[in-house]
Amino acid sequence: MSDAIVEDYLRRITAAAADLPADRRDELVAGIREHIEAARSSGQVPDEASLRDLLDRLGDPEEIVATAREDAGPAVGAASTAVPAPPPVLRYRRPSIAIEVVAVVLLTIGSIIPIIGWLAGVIVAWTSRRWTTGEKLLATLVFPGGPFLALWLVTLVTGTSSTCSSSATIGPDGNSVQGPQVCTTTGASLPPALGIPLLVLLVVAPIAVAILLIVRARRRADAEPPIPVYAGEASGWGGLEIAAVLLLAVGGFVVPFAGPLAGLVCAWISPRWTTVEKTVATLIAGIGLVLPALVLLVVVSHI
Amino acid sequence: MHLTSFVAAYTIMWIASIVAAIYLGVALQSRR
Repeated sequence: MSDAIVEDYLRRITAAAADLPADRRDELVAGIREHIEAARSSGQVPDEASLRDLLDRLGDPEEIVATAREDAGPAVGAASTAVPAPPPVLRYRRPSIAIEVVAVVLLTIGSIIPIIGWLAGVIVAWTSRRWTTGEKLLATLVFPGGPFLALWLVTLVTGTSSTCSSSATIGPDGNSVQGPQVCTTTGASLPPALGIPLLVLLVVAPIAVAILLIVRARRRADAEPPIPVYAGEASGWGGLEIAAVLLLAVGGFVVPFAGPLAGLVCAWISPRWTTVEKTVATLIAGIGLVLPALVLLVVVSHI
Repeated sequence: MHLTSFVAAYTIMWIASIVAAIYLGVALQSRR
Protein backbone atom coordinates (compact mmCIF):
# COMPACT_ATOMS: atom_id res chain seq x y z
CA MET A 1 0.00 0.00 0.00
CA SER A 2 2.82 2.41 0.93
CA ASP A 3 4.63 1.68 -2.34
CA ALA A 4 1.45 2.41 -4.27
CA ILE A 5 1.10 5.79 -2.50
CA VAL A 6 4.70 6.73 -3.35
CA GLU A 7 4.35 5.58 -6.97
CA ASP A 8 1.12 7.53 -7.33
CA TYR A 9 2.81 10.65 -5.92
CA LEU A 10 5.80 10.29 -8.28
CA ARG A 11 3.43 9.63 -11.21
CA ARG A 12 1.68 12.93 -10.47
CA ILE A 13 5.05 14.74 -10.48
CA THR A 14 6.01 13.08 -13.77
CA ALA A 15 2.67 14.11 -15.28
CA ALA A 16 2.98 17.69 -14.01
CA ALA A 17 6.53 17.88 -15.37
CA ALA A 18 5.55 16.63 -18.83
CA ASP A 19 6.69 19.90 -20.44
CA LEU A 20 10.13 19.83 -18.79
CA PRO A 21 13.12 18.34 -20.64
CA ALA A 22 13.29 14.57 -20.12
CA ASP A 23 16.61 14.66 -18.24
CA ARG A 24 15.41 17.46 -15.95
CA ARG A 25 12.16 15.59 -15.29
CA ASP A 26 14.01 12.36 -14.50
CA GLU A 27 16.42 14.21 -12.22
CA LEU A 28 13.54 15.82 -10.34
CA VAL A 29 11.65 12.54 -9.86
CA ALA A 30 14.85 10.68 -8.89
CA GLY A 31 15.73 13.33 -6.30
CA ILE A 32 12.34 13.14 -4.65
CA ARG A 33 12.29 9.33 -4.79
CA GLU A 34 15.73 9.30 -3.12
CA HIS A 35 14.48 11.60 -0.34
CA ILE A 36 11.43 9.40 0.30
CA GLU A 37 13.53 6.22 0.32
CA ALA A 38 16.09 7.80 2.73
CA ALA A 39 13.27 8.74 5.10
CA ARG A 40 11.74 5.26 4.89
CA SER A 41 15.03 3.42 5.40
CA SER A 42 15.89 5.56 8.43
CA GLY A 43 12.58 4.58 10.03
CA GLN A 44 11.05 8.06 9.93
CA VAL A 45 7.95 6.76 8.14
CA PRO A 46 6.94 3.57 9.98
CA ASP A 47 3.32 3.62 8.85
CA GLU A 48 1.03 4.84 6.12
CA ALA A 49 -0.06 7.93 8.05
CA SER A 50 3.51 9.14 8.51
CA LEU A 51 4.22 8.47 4.81
CA ARG A 52 1.24 10.62 3.83
CA ASP A 53 2.50 13.21 6.29
CA LEU A 54 5.94 13.17 4.63
CA LEU A 55 4.38 13.60 1.17
CA ASP A 56 2.24 16.48 2.48
CA ARG A 57 5.35 18.17 3.79
CA LEU A 58 7.12 17.69 0.48
CA GLY A 59 4.25 19.59 -1.08
CA ASP A 60 1.78 19.33 -3.89
CA PRO A 61 3.35 17.73 -7.05
CA GLU A 62 2.18 20.65 -9.19
CA GLU A 63 3.82 23.13 -6.80
CA ILE A 64 7.11 21.19 -6.78
CA VAL A 65 7.20 21.14 -10.57
CA ALA A 66 6.28 24.84 -10.72
CA THR A 67 9.19 25.63 -8.36
CA ALA A 68 11.58 23.50 -10.42
CA ARG A 69 10.39 25.28 -13.56
CA GLU A 70 11.04 28.70 -12.01
CA ASP A 71 14.48 27.58 -10.80
CA ALA A 72 15.33 26.49 -14.32
CA GLY A 73 14.38 29.88 -15.77
CA PRO A 74 11.84 30.91 -18.41
CA ALA A 75 13.69 29.15 -21.20
CA VAL A 76 12.80 25.74 -19.85
CA GLY A 77 9.54 24.46 -21.15
CA ALA A 78 10.75 24.45 -24.69
CA ALA A 79 12.35 21.04 -25.06
CA SER A 80 15.05 22.36 -27.36
CA THR A 81 16.61 24.57 -24.64
CA ALA A 82 17.36 21.82 -22.15
CA VAL A 83 19.50 23.57 -19.56
CA PRO A 84 20.14 21.40 -16.48
CA ALA A 85 18.67 23.19 -13.47
CA PRO A 86 19.84 22.71 -9.88
CA PRO A 87 17.78 20.26 -7.84
CA PRO A 88 14.92 21.94 -5.96
CA VAL A 89 16.63 21.48 -2.61
CA LEU A 90 16.94 24.67 -0.62
CA ARG A 91 19.28 23.26 2.02
CA TYR A 92 20.11 20.17 4.02
CA ARG A 93 19.51 20.09 7.73
CA ARG A 94 20.93 17.97 10.52
CA PRO A 95 18.43 15.40 11.87
CA SER A 96 16.91 16.77 15.06
CA ILE A 97 16.92 14.99 18.43
CA ALA A 98 14.34 17.35 19.92
CA ILE A 99 12.04 14.47 20.91
CA GLU A 100 14.83 12.73 22.83
CA VAL A 101 15.74 16.01 24.58
CA VAL A 102 12.09 16.50 25.61
CA ALA A 103 12.00 12.93 26.99
CA VAL A 104 15.18 13.40 29.04
CA VAL A 105 14.08 16.80 30.41
CA LEU A 106 10.71 15.34 31.48
CA LEU A 107 12.36 12.29 33.06
CA THR A 108 14.74 14.40 35.15
CA ILE A 109 13.64 18.01 35.73
CA GLY A 110 10.04 17.14 34.81
CA SER A 111 9.81 14.76 37.76
CA ILE A 112 9.42 17.84 39.97
CA ILE A 113 5.78 17.53 38.86
CA PRO A 114 4.96 14.33 40.80
CA ILE A 115 4.14 11.30 38.62
CA ILE A 116 2.81 13.27 35.61
CA GLY A 117 6.11 14.83 34.50
CA TRP A 118 8.02 11.57 34.76
CA LEU A 119 5.20 9.49 33.20
CA ALA A 120 5.03 11.87 30.23
CA GLY A 121 8.83 11.48 29.86
CA VAL A 122 8.51 7.69 29.80
CA ILE A 123 5.80 7.83 27.12
CA VAL A 124 7.88 10.16 24.93
CA ALA A 125 11.09 8.13 25.51
CA TRP A 126 9.45 4.90 24.34
CA THR A 127 8.41 6.55 21.06
CA SER A 128 12.03 7.38 20.22
CA ARG A 129 13.46 5.33 17.37
CA ARG A 130 17.04 6.26 18.27
CA TRP A 131 17.18 4.40 21.56
CA THR A 132 17.33 0.63 21.96
CA THR A 133 14.89 -1.21 24.22
CA GLY A 134 17.69 -1.56 26.80
CA GLU A 135 18.30 2.18 26.82
CA LYS A 136 14.57 2.87 27.15
CA LEU A 137 14.43 0.48 30.11
CA LEU A 138 17.42 2.27 31.64
CA ALA A 139 15.64 5.61 31.22
CA THR A 140 12.51 4.16 32.84
CA LEU A 141 14.17 2.37 35.75
CA VAL A 142 16.69 5.05 36.85
CA PHE A 143 14.54 5.97 38.74
CA PRO A 144 10.81 5.16 38.54
CA GLY A 145 9.11 8.43 39.39
CA GLY A 146 12.24 10.42 38.62
CA PRO A 147 14.96 11.88 40.87
CA PHE A 148 12.64 14.37 42.57
CA LEU A 149 10.18 11.66 43.66
CA ALA A 150 13.10 9.57 44.96
CA LEU A 151 14.40 12.58 46.91
CA TRP A 152 10.98 13.26 48.39
CA LEU A 153 10.54 9.62 49.41
CA VAL A 154 13.96 9.59 51.10
CA THR A 155 13.08 12.81 52.91
CA LEU A 156 9.78 11.32 54.07
CA VAL A 157 11.35 8.05 55.24
CA THR A 158 14.37 9.51 56.98
CA GLY A 159 12.87 12.81 58.12
CA THR A 160 13.13 13.37 61.87
CA SER A 161 11.25 15.63 64.21
CA SER A 162 12.03 16.53 67.82
CA THR A 163 9.65 17.61 70.55
CA CYS A 164 10.81 18.91 73.92
CA SER A 165 8.80 19.27 77.10
CA SER A 166 9.40 20.00 80.72
CA SER A 167 7.20 19.79 83.75
CA ALA A 168 6.84 22.40 86.46
CA THR A 169 6.41 21.54 90.14
CA ILE A 170 5.59 23.64 93.18
CA GLY A 171 8.59 23.90 95.48
CA PRO A 172 8.53 23.97 99.31
CA ASP A 173 8.57 27.78 99.25
CA GLY A 174 5.42 27.80 97.12
CA ASN A 175 7.17 28.92 93.95
CA SER A 176 7.04 27.07 90.70
CA VAL A 177 10.15 25.06 89.93
CA GLN A 178 10.90 24.20 86.30
CA GLY A 179 11.76 20.50 85.87
CA PRO A 180 14.40 19.10 83.54
CA GLN A 181 13.67 19.41 79.82
CA VAL A 182 12.95 16.08 78.10
CA CYS A 183 13.38 15.85 74.33
CA THR A 184 12.13 12.98 72.18
CA THR A 185 13.07 12.42 68.55
CA THR A 186 10.77 10.54 66.20
CA GLY A 187 11.48 9.16 62.70
CA ALA A 188 14.48 7.36 61.30
CA SER A 189 17.79 8.84 60.22
CA LEU A 190 20.50 7.38 58.07
CA PRO A 191 24.14 7.61 59.14
CA PRO A 192 26.02 10.20 57.01
CA ALA A 193 28.22 7.44 55.57
CA LEU A 194 25.10 5.89 54.01
CA GLY A 195 22.82 8.90 53.58
CA ILE A 196 25.19 11.16 51.62
CA PRO A 197 26.13 8.53 48.97
CA LEU A 198 22.42 7.65 48.65
CA LEU A 199 21.48 11.28 48.03
CA VAL A 200 24.32 11.68 45.51
CA LEU A 201 23.22 8.47 43.77
CA LEU A 202 19.61 9.67 43.55
CA VAL A 203 20.70 12.89 41.84
CA VAL A 204 23.80 11.83 39.91
CA ALA A 205 22.55 8.53 38.42
CA PRO A 206 19.57 10.03 36.53
CA ILE A 207 21.74 12.90 35.25
CA ALA A 208 24.44 10.44 34.10
CA VAL A 209 21.80 8.32 32.33
CA ALA A 210 20.33 11.46 30.73
CA ILE A 211 23.73 12.55 29.37
CA LEU A 212 24.47 9.03 28.09
CA LEU A 213 21.11 8.83 26.29
CA ILE A 214 21.46 12.27 24.69
CA VAL A 215 25.02 11.50 23.50
CA ARG A 216 23.88 8.23 21.94
CA ALA A 217 20.83 9.82 20.31
CA ARG A 218 23.00 12.60 18.86
CA ARG A 219 25.56 10.10 17.52
CA ARG A 220 22.85 8.00 15.85
CA ALA A 221 21.13 11.09 14.44
CA ASP A 222 24.43 12.28 12.96
CA ALA A 223 24.84 8.89 11.25
CA GLU A 224 21.52 9.43 9.48
CA PRO A 225 21.50 11.15 6.07
CA PRO A 226 20.97 14.92 6.22
CA ILE A 227 17.39 15.89 5.52
CA PRO A 228 16.83 17.99 2.39
CA VAL A 229 14.47 20.92 2.67
CA TYR A 230 12.68 21.42 -0.63
CA ALA A 231 11.63 24.69 -2.15
CA GLY A 232 8.01 23.58 -2.39
CA GLU A 233 7.91 22.08 1.07
CA ALA A 234 4.76 23.05 2.92
CA SER A 235 5.08 24.83 6.24
CA GLY A 236 4.57 22.64 9.31
CA TRP A 237 2.44 25.23 11.12
CA GLY A 238 -1.04 25.84 9.83
CA GLY A 239 -4.13 27.26 11.51
CA LEU A 240 -5.20 23.84 12.79
CA GLU A 241 -1.80 23.12 14.35
CA ILE A 242 -1.60 26.53 16.06
CA ALA A 243 -5.17 26.03 17.36
CA ALA A 244 -4.32 22.56 18.70
CA VAL A 245 -1.22 23.75 20.61
CA LEU A 246 -2.90 26.92 21.92
CA LEU A 247 -6.02 25.06 23.08
CA LEU A 248 -3.89 22.46 24.85
CA ALA A 249 -1.60 25.05 26.44
CA VAL A 250 -4.11 27.71 27.54
CA GLY A 251 -7.56 26.28 26.69
CA GLY A 252 -7.82 24.86 30.21
CA PHE A 253 -7.79 28.41 31.64
CA VAL A 254 -10.79 29.41 29.57
CA VAL A 255 -12.87 26.23 29.66
CA PRO A 256 -11.51 23.53 32.04
CA PHE A 257 -11.36 20.07 30.44
CA ALA A 258 -13.25 21.09 27.29
CA GLY A 259 -10.43 23.43 26.15
CA PRO A 260 -7.66 20.77 26.12
CA LEU A 261 -10.13 18.25 24.67
CA ALA A 262 -10.80 20.60 21.76
CA GLY A 263 -7.02 20.89 21.32
CA LEU A 264 -6.72 17.12 21.04
CA VAL A 265 -9.54 17.03 18.48
CA CYS A 266 -7.69 19.66 16.38
CA ALA A 267 -4.47 17.64 16.66
CA TRP A 268 -6.20 14.49 15.41
CA ILE A 269 -7.79 16.35 12.50
CA SER A 270 -4.42 17.85 11.47
CA PRO A 271 -2.50 15.89 8.81
CA ARG A 272 0.84 17.37 9.96
CA TRP A 273 1.32 15.06 12.95
CA THR A 274 1.84 11.30 12.65
CA THR A 275 -0.52 8.84 14.34
CA VAL A 276 2.22 8.03 16.89
CA GLU A 277 2.64 11.69 17.81
CA LYS A 278 -1.12 12.17 18.14
CA THR A 279 -1.38 9.06 20.33
CA VAL A 280 1.47 10.21 22.61
CA ALA A 281 -0.07 13.68 23.03
CA THR A 282 -3.45 12.08 23.79
CA LEU A 283 -1.90 9.78 26.40
CA ILE A 284 -0.07 12.66 28.11
CA ALA A 285 -3.09 14.99 28.10
CA GLY A 286 -5.29 12.00 29.02
CA ILE A 287 -3.39 11.61 32.30
CA GLY A 288 -4.45 15.16 33.14
CA LEU A 289 -8.04 14.72 32.00
CA VAL A 290 -8.97 11.26 33.33
CA LEU A 291 -7.29 11.40 36.76
CA PRO A 292 -8.81 14.76 37.81
CA ALA A 293 -12.19 13.67 36.42
CA LEU A 294 -12.07 10.60 38.67
CA VAL A 295 -11.01 12.72 41.67
CA LEU A 296 -13.87 15.15 41.03
CA LEU A 297 -16.36 12.27 40.68
CA VAL A 298 -15.27 10.87 44.05
CA VAL A 299 -15.42 14.30 45.70
CA VAL A 300 -18.83 15.14 44.23
CA SER A 301 -20.26 11.76 45.25
CA HIS A 302 -19.26 12.54 48.87
CA ILE A 303 -20.85 15.99 48.99
CA MET B 1 -10.83 19.87 51.59
CA HIS B 2 -13.10 19.96 48.53
CA LEU B 3 -11.53 23.19 47.35
CA THR B 4 -8.07 21.58 47.64
CA SER B 5 -9.24 18.62 45.55
CA PHE B 6 -10.64 20.92 42.87
CA VAL B 7 -7.44 22.97 42.75
CA ALA B 8 -5.31 19.79 42.58
CA ALA B 9 -7.48 18.35 39.77
CA TYR B 10 -7.31 21.63 37.85
CA THR B 11 -3.53 21.84 38.28
CA ILE B 12 -2.98 18.28 37.07
CA MET B 13 -5.12 18.93 33.99
CA TRP B 14 -3.27 22.14 33.23
CA ILE B 15 0.23 20.64 33.59
CA ALA B 16 -0.55 17.54 31.51
CA SER B 17 -2.12 19.64 28.75
CA ILE B 18 0.89 21.97 28.62
CA VAL B 19 3.28 19.00 28.42
CA ALA B 20 1.20 17.57 25.54
CA ALA B 21 1.25 20.97 23.78
CA ILE B 22 5.03 21.23 24.16
CA TYR B 23 5.45 17.70 22.79
CA LEU B 24 3.33 18.42 19.70
CA GLY B 25 5.12 21.72 19.14
CA VAL B 26 8.56 20.14 19.36
CA ALA B 27 7.50 17.22 17.12
CA LEU B 28 6.35 19.62 14.42
CA GLN B 29 9.24 22.04 14.78
CA SER B 30 11.90 19.28 14.74
CA ARG B 31 10.87 18.38 11.18
CA ARG B 32 11.69 21.84 9.86
